[in-house]
Amino acid sequence: MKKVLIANRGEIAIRIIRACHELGLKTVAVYAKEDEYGVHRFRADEAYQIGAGKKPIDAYLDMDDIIRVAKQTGADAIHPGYGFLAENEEFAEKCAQNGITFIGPTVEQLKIFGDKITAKEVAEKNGLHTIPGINEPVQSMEEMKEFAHTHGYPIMIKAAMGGGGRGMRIVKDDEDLKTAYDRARSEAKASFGDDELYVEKYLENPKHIEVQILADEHGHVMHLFERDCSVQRRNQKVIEFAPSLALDDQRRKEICDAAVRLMKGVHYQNAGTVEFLVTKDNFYFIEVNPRIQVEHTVTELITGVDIVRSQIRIAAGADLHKDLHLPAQDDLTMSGYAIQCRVTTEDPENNFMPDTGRILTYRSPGGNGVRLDGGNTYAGAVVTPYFDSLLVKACVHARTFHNTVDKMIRVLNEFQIRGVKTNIPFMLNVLKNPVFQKGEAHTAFIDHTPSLFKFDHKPDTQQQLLNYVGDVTVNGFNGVKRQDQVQPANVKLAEMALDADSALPIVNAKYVLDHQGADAAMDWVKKQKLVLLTDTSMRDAHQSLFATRMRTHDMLPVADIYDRALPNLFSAETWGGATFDVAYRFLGEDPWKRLKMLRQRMPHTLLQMLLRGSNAVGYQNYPDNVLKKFIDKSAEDGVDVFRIFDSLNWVEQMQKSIEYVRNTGKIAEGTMCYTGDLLSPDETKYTLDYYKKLAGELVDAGAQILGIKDMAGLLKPDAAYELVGELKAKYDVPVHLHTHDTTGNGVATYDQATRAGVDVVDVAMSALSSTTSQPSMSSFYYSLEGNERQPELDIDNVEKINQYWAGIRPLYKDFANGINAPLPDIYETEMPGGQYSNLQQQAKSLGLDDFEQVKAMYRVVNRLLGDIVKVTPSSKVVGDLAIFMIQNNLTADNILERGKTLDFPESVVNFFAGDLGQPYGGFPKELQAVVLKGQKAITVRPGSLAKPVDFDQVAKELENKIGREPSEEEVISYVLYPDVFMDYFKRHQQYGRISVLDTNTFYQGMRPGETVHIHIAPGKTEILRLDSISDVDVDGNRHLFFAVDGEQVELPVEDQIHTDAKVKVPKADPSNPGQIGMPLNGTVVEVLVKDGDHVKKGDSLIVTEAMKMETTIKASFDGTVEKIYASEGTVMDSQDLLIQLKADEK
Amino acid sequence: MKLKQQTISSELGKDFPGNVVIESVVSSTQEMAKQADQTSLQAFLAERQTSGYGKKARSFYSPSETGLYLSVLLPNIEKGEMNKAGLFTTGLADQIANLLEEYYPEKKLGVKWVNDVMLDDAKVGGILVEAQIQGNSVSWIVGVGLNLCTADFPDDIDRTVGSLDSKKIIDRNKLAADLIKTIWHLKSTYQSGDFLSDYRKRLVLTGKTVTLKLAQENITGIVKGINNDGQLLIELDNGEIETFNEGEVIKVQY
Repeated sequence: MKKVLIANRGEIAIRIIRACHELGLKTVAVYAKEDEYGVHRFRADEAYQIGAGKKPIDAYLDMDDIIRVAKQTGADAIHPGYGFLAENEEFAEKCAQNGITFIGPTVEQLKIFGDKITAKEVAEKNGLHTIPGINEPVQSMEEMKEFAHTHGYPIMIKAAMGGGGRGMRIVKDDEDLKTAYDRARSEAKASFGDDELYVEKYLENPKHIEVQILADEHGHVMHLFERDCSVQRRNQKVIEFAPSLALDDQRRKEICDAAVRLMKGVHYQNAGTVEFLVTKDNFYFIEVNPRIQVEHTVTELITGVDIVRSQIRIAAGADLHKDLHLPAQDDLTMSGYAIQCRVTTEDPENNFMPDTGRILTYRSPGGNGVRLDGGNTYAGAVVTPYFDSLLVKACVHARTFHNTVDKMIRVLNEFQIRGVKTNIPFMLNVLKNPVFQKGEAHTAFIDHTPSLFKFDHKPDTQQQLLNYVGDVTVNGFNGVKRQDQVQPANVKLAEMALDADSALPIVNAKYVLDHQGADAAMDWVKKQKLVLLTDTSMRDAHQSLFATRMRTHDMLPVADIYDRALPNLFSAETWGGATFDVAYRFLGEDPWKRLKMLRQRMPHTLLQMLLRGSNAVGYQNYPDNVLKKFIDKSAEDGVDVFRIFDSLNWVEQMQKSIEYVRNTGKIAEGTMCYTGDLLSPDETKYTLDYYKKLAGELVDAGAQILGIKDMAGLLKPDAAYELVGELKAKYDVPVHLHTHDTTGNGVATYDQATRAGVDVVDVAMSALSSTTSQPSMSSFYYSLEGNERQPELDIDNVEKINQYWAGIRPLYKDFANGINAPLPDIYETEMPGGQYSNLQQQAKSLGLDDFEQVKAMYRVVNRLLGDIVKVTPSSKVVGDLAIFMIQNNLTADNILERGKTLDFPESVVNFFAGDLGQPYGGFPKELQAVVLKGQKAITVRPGSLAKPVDFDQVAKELENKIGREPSEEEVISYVLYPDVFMDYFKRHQQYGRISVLDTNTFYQGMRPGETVHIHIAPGKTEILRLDSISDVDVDGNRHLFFAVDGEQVELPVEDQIHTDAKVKVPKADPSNPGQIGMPLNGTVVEVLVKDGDHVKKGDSLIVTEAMKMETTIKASFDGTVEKIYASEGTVMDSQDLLIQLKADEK
Repeated sequence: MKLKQQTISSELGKDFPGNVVIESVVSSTQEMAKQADQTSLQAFLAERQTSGYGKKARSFYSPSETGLYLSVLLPNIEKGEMNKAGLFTTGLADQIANLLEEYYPEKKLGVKWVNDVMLDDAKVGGILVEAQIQGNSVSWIVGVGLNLCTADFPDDIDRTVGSLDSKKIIDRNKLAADLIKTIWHLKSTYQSGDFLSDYRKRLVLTGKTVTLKLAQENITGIVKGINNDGQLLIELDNGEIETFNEGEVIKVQY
């Protein structure tokens, strides 16, 4: 034998080719057109297409074509593999007639075992038991009863016309039989139109055991022990192993000898398998498979016998013992255990429907005791629906069954297959099941064990992160136009002199709060001689400077050393304000997680948050029970100081929050918003007395510390001296001052406040300070040089931390507000810094380029509204109304008249309706009437009108939406921000934990040639490199070529920007008149037809233009437009495919 | 004077081996050409066009007597020549400008890329080549519209147009014949690109900052000239020079 043709495909074809090559034989492969990429054709020495024009499977059944190829190539033998023509006696006959050796049994043997009846007869003749049954339709119940008494219950009644599991009924005893018989008859008549019934013995929980037989042409027949194939799903084998744990040596010998007896009886040749169903007491012959089987591998592993090689040699005349050197039967031993898992693209969550598509990643396992028999599997391979879905047979071999199972679990976990679904999660469930592990699984095991179908969806973190990076690289970060590249900051925190080894406790405000409670903590603060600091770097500083965009990722390095580096701070403001909303909406981060992570890393520092009295961290008026739940949870998760304020300074809106905070045992800072100028003789509303009175109300409401929130930077130094002095004199609570350096006097104000006795001031690290942020911590520190109240600070540590922030800040420059200098005009306009640039942009987008005009109108509006406190959300009312007035040519004089017929902006209407609360001094009544136009206004606290939320119901609702039980925090977030939270959730499902990405990559994506190290978890780093980005293809996708941990991965990403007018299309085939190509480089001007149109010869199809030559392409035959690739306005290259036409059939 | 088929044909003589067809009123000579047999060399002229058009089907005002409107159908173009189309379309402008200067010697004619014939800032001649491809058969239909002495143009024309000389009357039949000959002759010589240096001298926007309107966007930059394929060279803000084979100058900074 010199050359073998393999009449098969996929993994078995490769298996046979390998065996041939080991024997030094040449190989010929055949393939169907749909299989032209089949690996088997490229592995063989020669390959030829067969079955042209036939359906894919039929191609492999084209006997004549296969024989033709065999003759043409001079193949001496054909190995049919399994399936297809392997058991086809006609084919075997044709081979013989053409002088080609059929590697398998004789034609006669194929005939015998091809027929279930003759097979059974032969088996019985050779002394094997078969499943008892009556071969003719049963005439009466008596007959069935007699049968049952002879062979024993249980029995199975089968409808003659049934099949595939239908029309079968199991009967346990005589009682059961009476009802079952009648029912079976009538059901059969109803379902199949025929009430004929058969009966056979029903085997309870049998095991499927099969014996491998090898026989030569010289009369030698031997067995290679058995395989256990009981693990089946709907009669399809899923996992096979050898040897079976259910057989002791004696039974094994009995069954295997029976198999040999049978095969010897028919003088069997070559390889074959005898299949049995085995119960506790007996074993029953089912059938013989006269061919190599899929699971032959496990037998090879435990016996060391190469069955396929043996098949080929046997067909060439070799003797099992003399030539193949197989031992005598009694000397044959087996070693260890082997398991095979068939890895397929069947999706266990979609009823095992085979998935199709392109394999994007394919990484296979290996190592000790691992054997992989693969089909067409490699990254880039396309899985088609034409053939079976087997990807690879994973086999393992080890000494004990337990070890073998461990190894198989390891192997299945090691597979990395992306792009198509696989059945691996299902097989893992089976392998981990204790019934399987004891070797007790029977044929109904899978079908009766629902827990095998429960899957625990571990997210594919690597793929998710890749999807995110790909998307932001191609499409940018939502809404932000990418500026110049910011150098990836390898920003590290410098080594600091910390008291790392000191076991002494840090005694600060946090210490006192934790050990002695809130009151004691406030006493401690009052007693401090030196002024205390709150660091706003992780909240208000970046909220002011770059739209709250700082990511948790950038805060953690500082948080780790915070307590020891800055032990003397009063607090760190790290939560609340806009961070909650922005975290979910823009950063894809969970703000609660940020709080918990900071709390864990900063156990010795008070954590502070900003809370709007009636809206918590949202923008609606929530019912009181929501406020309470939010405050309770925040306190539990780590917030110590709650700065509570109201945008109109209406204490009634702060009362509940203060009460709820006090009840948690944490610190409630009742806060007054500062506005106006108490030094000015023209100030009639917001005088010193106003603030003193307001402070009193806050203290009465339960505030344990008084906050002064100067959001616009209006508090001048002497005013601060006055105000703080008076408050300290009158009230026995600490005073906490917060200002913004927008007007340029921040440090001066703090100095004066310090001299007046202020307890705490809010500062930010220098790199994140000034302009619209807080004054600089270091500058303030130095300004008090020589003063007895200079704060206690390790200024070196501050500098080192500051350098870190200085390195971080440029990463956020895309979000900077553009304010680079003090804005003293704000003393006049009283616009809070956060609003300044927003309002400017808003005005510009409406065509109002003159910002001075807007500022002037802002002041007018403030007076019209009665001079209100301006901070979010009240500041928005003023801004919106100012723009509205300019757009509609309204002035203070004409607004009452002209406003009657205008619809005012929503924020203004809501304000006048009492939605924001009651302003000090009341509403200007006439203007209110004009704006509301009859709508009723409320005079009570809006929150008091809101219906309490039923948290249990909400939790259920949320559980349905997200498919698992939500945490308490998630429920609260969902109540506060239903849409934003759900969007975050969906994004999280899609992209996973994008919070682990470095900020540069998060906002800007990657550039070709760039490498980033992603720290996913402690000790788990992924190295990601972007090699190249392709042009946009015909489907609108770009293909990004990455290397993940060194391995090449291709990721298609939809380009939503389509900045490239040039689209990649295939080239027209000049030999194909149906393919119309671009005549020259140019632009497609007009497409005159659409997909599906019928055209006649001479009809104009498309017009292109280049260099002022307009080219009209006309149809050169009658036909139909199959597909149009060109679109109007796109630039294309010469020969690019424009239209595919299909000629009409003549 | 009226156009006479006899006169023109005899003027052409052997220099143009094709048919000459004259109509007094047609929609457009381009349409006439498109309806004709694409495999035979022909020239179509009209006294007046009711729907004369130029690029992108923009209308070309074509009153009788004061202008000249014709289309020459060049059959059997090699498919490969399509890639050289830019040289042909630019070559036409140059050669036609040369020809016109023989008839109007005091006038200095310029060319605005791609092939508008200009007298100072006004467009006096328009050229449009329409290629017809069916299977492997390609024909080029060269349309030329000249404003010889048209004095009044309709208000709705949005470009600056003018005529060569509103006071001078020239022999239109002779001009028509010379024009047809020029086009026919160019067909076999344009690929050498010999006309390029003359074209560059005539190019009106060299050195000017222009805004070029493309299919998907607008580009602004300085016109550097044309390359040897007739494509326009523009220097962008960042100093890079880009070539263009389509687009229309919509704004010029003087």
